[in-house]
Amino acid sequence: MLSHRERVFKTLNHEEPDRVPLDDAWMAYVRLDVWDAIKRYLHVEDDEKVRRYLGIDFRYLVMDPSEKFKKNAKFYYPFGLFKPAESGLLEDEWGVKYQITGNGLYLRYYYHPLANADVDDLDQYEFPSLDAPGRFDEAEKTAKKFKDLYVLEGFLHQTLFEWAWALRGFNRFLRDLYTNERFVNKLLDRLVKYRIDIGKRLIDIGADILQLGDDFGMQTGMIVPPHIWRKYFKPRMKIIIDTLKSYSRNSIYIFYHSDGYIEPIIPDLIEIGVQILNPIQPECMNPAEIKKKYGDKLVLHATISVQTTLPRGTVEDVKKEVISRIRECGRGGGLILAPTHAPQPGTPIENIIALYETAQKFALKM
Amino acid sequence: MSYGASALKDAIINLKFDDALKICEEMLKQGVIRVEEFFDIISQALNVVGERYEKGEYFVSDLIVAGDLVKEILKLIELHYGKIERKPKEPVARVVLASVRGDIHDIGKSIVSMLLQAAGFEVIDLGVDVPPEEIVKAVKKYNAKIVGLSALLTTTVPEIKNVILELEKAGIRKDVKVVVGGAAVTEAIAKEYGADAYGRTAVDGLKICQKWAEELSK
Repeated sequence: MLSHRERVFKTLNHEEPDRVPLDDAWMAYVRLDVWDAIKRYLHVEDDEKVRRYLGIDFRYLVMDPSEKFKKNAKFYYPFGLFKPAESGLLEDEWGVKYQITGNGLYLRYYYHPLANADVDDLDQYEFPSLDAPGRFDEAEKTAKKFKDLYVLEGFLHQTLFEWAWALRGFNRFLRDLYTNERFVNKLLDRLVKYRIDIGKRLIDIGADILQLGDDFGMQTGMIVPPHIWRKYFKPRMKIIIDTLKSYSRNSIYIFYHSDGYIEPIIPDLIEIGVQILNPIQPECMNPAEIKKKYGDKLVLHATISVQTTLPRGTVEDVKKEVISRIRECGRGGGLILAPTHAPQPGTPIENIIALYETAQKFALKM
Repeated sequence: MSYGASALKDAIINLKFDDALKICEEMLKQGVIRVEEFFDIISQALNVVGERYEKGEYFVSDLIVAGDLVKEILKLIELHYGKIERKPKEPVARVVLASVRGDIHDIGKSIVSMLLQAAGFEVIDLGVDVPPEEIVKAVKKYNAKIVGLSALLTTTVPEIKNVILELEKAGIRKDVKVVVGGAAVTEAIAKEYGADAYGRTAVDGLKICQKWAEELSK
């Protein structure tokens, strides 16, 4: 049996490993309530015991809020650390404010700090300092403990588009893309530099893979036309990728996340250096088709449905999907399995467990 | 730049934000058309935008920008004429739209809202994370005949049933048609929860509402 690192690197290099590598879907970070439900189901308290049981081959390097922010923050379960703001709102380190939804399960954007800014105001708006004490402490601890055992993935999610609209407001930022080029360019250029700085830190700490990405896909189409993506985001993602690959002396692998349907820009993503594509929701893009068209250049990551099979299927349905995915997309390596996103509350825990148990038992004999 | 109904319509259709607003301002200044004709131009332009979206030529961001442009134009018109109560044309109905309780997604719902308004419906968009009681309150207040519900998360889909139950509790279920949509909804789920129809896309939603409006007018 291969070690976790051997298994993953074989897969990333499009060679067939002993079994398909397995990843988390950020469960402990994005859906702590579901992660806790898994722990209760398995009767374990320790996160590491769960990851080992599930056979997860990766560990995450995440940038934390600063010590100063944590002093004024409160833990809002299951969301994380936020500063209490007016009228029950939650505020993050960027000044973005959120409202907890009526069912208590989600956060809704409520206030965007750059909603009314003009291009000159951008100079006054400070991004959270990367040098703040506490920023990378946990990431460093994780790397020290696991860098020889597991493959380390550094988080750079919401790289450009998503964070730009979180700061600006969704409709407002979309309108900026059509009418306010100067603003868009300035904000995105600042985010490029910031993301590069984070990426370098994560590489220094020991990241093997950098998870970049922005949600550009909806269920059946893209949010913006491909020509707008190519105008504003493609060149900037290329700068980030080229800079970080060069900084790592080409050792780092580039992972790109976008929910939904983004097939029109997949060739562009490959062109700019993306090597791993996540999550390829089967409701939106057919993983077998993506494998056929791009499988020699792209590693498919995730692909197991959180919209249909995991929440609504039986354990048998999950097993069938996992096995058929491995058979259709695991040839010659290039497949890492995970749920296509953190499973939502109400997903039968036995289905989540079945995904991981089935994949661990299915030895690749292609 | 030329001014006039055709130029304004083209500018909206082609998402020429600044041009459309300049043309509108000039037309208002010159008083070349009546206020009702402005609404007709907007409606026709949004219909074309909707058609382009249906054909895959336009994307979600194009629709959102078109919607924002129309809002700016309406502000200019209101500034010039004062607040105008726009009566819905016959034979359309009033539609209450909402993303159900717990659901924060509204892009799809906003597209449906825009398409419905372009087609002459009066839309009461309650926004996101809307409890069932608020939806029923709005249906009664505005005497809406159609309710459109959006649920994009597997956790929020069951709220559709709660809305239907609330309509039944209020004794108005039989007076209202319910169409549901969103990534987490399927035809089977719509049927299971007692909705009258399922729209896979925003355009499906529009066509279903148009069919019902026609039935209502008979």
